[in-house]
Amino acid sequence: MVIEDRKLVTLLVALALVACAPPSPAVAPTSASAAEEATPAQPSIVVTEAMGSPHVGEAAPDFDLPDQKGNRVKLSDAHGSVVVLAFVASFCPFSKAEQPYLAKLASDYAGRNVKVIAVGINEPEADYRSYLARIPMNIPVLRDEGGKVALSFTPPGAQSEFKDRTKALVTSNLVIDRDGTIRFFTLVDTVHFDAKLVHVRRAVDRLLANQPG
Amino acid sequence: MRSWFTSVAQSIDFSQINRDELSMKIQVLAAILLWACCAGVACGGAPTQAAPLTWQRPGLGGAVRPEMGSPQPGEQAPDFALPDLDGRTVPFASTRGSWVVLHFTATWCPFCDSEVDHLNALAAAFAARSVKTVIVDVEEDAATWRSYASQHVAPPMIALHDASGAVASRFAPPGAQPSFDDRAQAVLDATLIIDPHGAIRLFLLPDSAHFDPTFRAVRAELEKLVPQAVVAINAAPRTIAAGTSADLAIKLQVAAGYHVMADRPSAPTYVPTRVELFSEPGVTVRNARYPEAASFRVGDRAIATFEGAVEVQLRLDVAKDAALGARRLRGIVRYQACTASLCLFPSQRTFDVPLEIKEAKEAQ
Repeated sequence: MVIEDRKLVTLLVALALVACAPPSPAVAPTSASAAEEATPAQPSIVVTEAMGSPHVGEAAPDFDLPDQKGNRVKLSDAHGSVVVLAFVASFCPFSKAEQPYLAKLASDYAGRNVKVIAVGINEPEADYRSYLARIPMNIPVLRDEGGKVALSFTPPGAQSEFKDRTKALVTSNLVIDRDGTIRFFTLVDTVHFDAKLVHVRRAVDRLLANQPG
Repeated sequence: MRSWFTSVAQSIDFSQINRDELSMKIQVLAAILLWACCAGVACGGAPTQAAPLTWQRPGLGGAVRPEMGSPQPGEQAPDFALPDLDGRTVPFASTRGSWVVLHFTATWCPFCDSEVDHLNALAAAFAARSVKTVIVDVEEDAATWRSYASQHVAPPMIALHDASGAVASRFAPPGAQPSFDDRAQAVLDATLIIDPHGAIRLFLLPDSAHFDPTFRAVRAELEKLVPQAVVAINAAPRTIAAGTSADLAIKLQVAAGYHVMADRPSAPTYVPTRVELFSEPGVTVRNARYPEAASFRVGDRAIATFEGAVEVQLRLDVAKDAALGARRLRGIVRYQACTASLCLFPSQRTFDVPLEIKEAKEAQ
């Protein structure tokens, strides 16, 4: 009986210790390198109907802009291809972090009828050139002087607090289907930053597999 | 838990049990007591529902998280010295003793540019509580920063320049934006609250999904962290022509429910309120004139005090040959405050008055 009681006491003490354990933190501490590898579970800020037009499900506005070699590039010329459209700026550290992965995306999907196009938003010529000088770019980087094309792609609700509206789409990414409809459209999410464009790739893969959105 | 414990204790009917059973039940009771004590004491009576973590609270989604590494809230802010807009080196340690809002910026950063007017407003609103607001430009040439700051950064905000980004990179926790090679850029648009001992109390990185250029969340944290000053000091900037004299009002606001002893106190042991502004080459400060004292009754005695808004007038004589341009006159207010039921230790607070000396003809 006494032994049984001791077991009971031990059990209760153990229970007490369990009860005393601190609540497990919501985010387990990880090293910086682990954080670098992490891909956000959700894509960045998704441009939905709530932000206004254009948004996912609508036709992408057409444009006609010069690339780094002086060739004119029209979005409508890419009809029949899946298009990845990235708005970039030489000043933006998020654009800089994505730049090598944009080039890698183009080479990884080469020969699969995917066109990757970058649009450098409203920057002086020298700054636009400095973006090109950072790494060899295997994709057209268009010069959007004055930011007119960027504005045509900017829904009113996208970073509506920005004083300079031409900057609202910096480091935004779109995936446009073979018919010119926007299937993926995100603004940069500074807290859950997807530098490696994992979610852009998933959207491209879905379209190549002929799956809806 | 307590009611459950009581019901267990009540379920034991001591009148109907034999000795052995009693011994066992006492042991069970003791064990339950031990568990209850441990749970209550070791857990410090912690609420069953954990308080939300900083980044789970509204507006604080960008908060630096423990897994990002140092520096982070609770740790000492890295020390530094950076030049201001006049090229004078400002050691960060010179802000010790004050609460500081520190913000990293770049003129091209659209988040930063959309916030700067609101940061000026925050700096002005919290200056009366002795909060110093410091804006640091990261990795731009001095001319670009100077021209931007002259248009967009207003006193009392202190504008500093980190041309190389060396200071900013020391503020960047390794886990913040790990994909950025340039570590200084990882803290662009970051806002910190640093306490009077130099410890970081809030560290927010930008959160583009919940962008609020008005700093609502930072203001709310300041409201909670920084005590309302018993005596707030307000001295408006003045422009005075060389070779003339002018009155200057220093406005004190004594917090509701408090009074301070008057300039001529009722007893020699009482600490008089004193406003001093220091003369310097070309600017002579003449004696302060205080308003009429109020009378505060303690039992059958009346004590000469100041309450509410107190305006102290000073006279400035500016010499004909005084150096023209902007300068800051330094001052100090000494006082001893009480409520109806308690008195605080004598205290003193420093303040600055921005003064612009213009050529005689131009100003008259």
